[in-house]
Amino acid sequence: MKSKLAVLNTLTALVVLAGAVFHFGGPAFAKMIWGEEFKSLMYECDHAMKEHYIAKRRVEIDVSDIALKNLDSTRLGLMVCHDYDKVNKRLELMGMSREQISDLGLEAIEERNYDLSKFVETHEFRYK
Amino acid sequence: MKKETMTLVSLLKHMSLDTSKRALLTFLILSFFSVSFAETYKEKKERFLRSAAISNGYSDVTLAKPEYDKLKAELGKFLFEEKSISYNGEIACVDCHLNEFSGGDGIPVSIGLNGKGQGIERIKSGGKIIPRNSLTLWGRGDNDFNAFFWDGRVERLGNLVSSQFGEAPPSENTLEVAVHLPVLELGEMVREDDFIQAQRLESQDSAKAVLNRLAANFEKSFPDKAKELKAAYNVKDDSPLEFIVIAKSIAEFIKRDFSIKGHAFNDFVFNETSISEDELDGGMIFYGKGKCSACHSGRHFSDFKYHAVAVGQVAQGKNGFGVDYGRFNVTHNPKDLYTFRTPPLVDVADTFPYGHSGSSMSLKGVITDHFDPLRKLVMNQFTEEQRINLNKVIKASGRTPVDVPHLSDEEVSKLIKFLKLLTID
Repeated sequence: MKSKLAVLNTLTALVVLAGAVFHFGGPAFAKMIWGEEFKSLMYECDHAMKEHYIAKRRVEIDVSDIALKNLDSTRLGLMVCHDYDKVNKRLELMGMSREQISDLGLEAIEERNYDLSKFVETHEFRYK
Repeated sequence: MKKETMTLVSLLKHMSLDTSKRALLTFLILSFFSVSFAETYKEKKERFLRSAAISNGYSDVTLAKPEYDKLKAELGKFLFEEKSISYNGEIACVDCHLNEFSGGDGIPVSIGLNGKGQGIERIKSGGKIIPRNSLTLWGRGDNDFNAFFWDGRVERLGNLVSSQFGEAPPSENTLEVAVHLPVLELGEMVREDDFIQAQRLESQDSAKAVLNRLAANFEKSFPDKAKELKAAYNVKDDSPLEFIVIAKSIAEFIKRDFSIKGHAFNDFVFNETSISEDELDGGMIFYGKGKCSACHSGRHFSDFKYHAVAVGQVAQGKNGFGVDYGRFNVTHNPKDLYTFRTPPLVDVADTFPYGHSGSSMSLKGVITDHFDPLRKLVMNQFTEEQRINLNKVIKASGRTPVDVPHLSDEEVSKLIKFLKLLTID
């Protein structure tokens, strides 16, 4: 009986420990493993959606064979957004909050644009 | 004059002079008139330049000053400089439209909420980055100033005002409608709270709700000023203050303080003052070889139309990831991708940086972008996305019917000297 209780206690402790590790370490682990992939897919999906919208508008305004083919291609290109959604879900399952995922998105945006401070430094911003 | 010279020379033939004396006299007469021709060549170019300016729609700026009401303009000045004009009471119009920077803010893109100070200090303060360069306000009160903001999201189309307000603009005056927009822009002058969250769906009703709240906040903070405003616009004292009254008053202030009082080029065209040889050459390039006047026409030096020029992109861009689709964001027509309203050039030398995201620090840079955009491409300073974006903008710029030819550094320098004539007196 005693040994059964000890096993049960150990198991409970392990579950609590695993839960704590998952709760506190999960988001950090997820970011480490899938963070870069998420950022890259976010950029690609954003790009694919923009391309698709532009192609759709082109067809609506001035339909032609090439415009239709272009639209079909951009539809296929939207597949990358499915991959983005999958990684997004994975991050959520690993305990990342919406805010943490949004921060990752902001990092992606900042990494891929011409940073304002960097621009100012590069051009030795001076006033007359 | 050529005719007169020839007559004099032919007269010599009939005079009883020996050949050598006749030759000497002919030489002296021709020399005298050739000096006269050299002196008038500049005058001739000046005449051509004046004529080119007028045929490209240039008219006397001193004759087109907008009328304004002194009291309303003074109240507008107070509103323009008052932070309580913003939803959270944190930022004023004057924070991004400073006299020190000729009505702009002197930085590539504006810094909205949380921004502190001016110039570099404001960039370093860590405020909210706005995707576009702050525009000067010169001439915005003029009746013929027809398109506002970089993408012309407030525009006069015949008798109608096209804007985000759809078929029910708050005013028939484009400037007054334009004043409504920055105060509704998240991050620029509005910090999100529960009330704003509830109004996020863009509609006329949500805009009206925010504007009413804004006017009520102002009335609460400055009851006396609100009273003055209501009196100035014949609004009953017991009626709540409406934002349209605030917008009208700010517009009066802009008409008063940012009307184009005159500049050296205006004096040159209409008062026949003289300009230097370099300025003259620059003007001839502007209206001639450089074809600048094809788009930079009229007295505002803008056709108020939309064109793509391969200027660079700084910061995140209106469409994110360092992309700004420009006019496309208003019309959703792919033909408008990467196009922006032709920027007016009045006081251009003082309204740096240039381009929709302020990517050019100098006039030389932005002029060069019109014909040699790859000159700025420094491979190790450009990210992959930036290069790709630049390529797309270059392709879009190919749709513009005007092809600016290669201009030498000397020609660009003369062009800049000409543009400096547009500096406000």
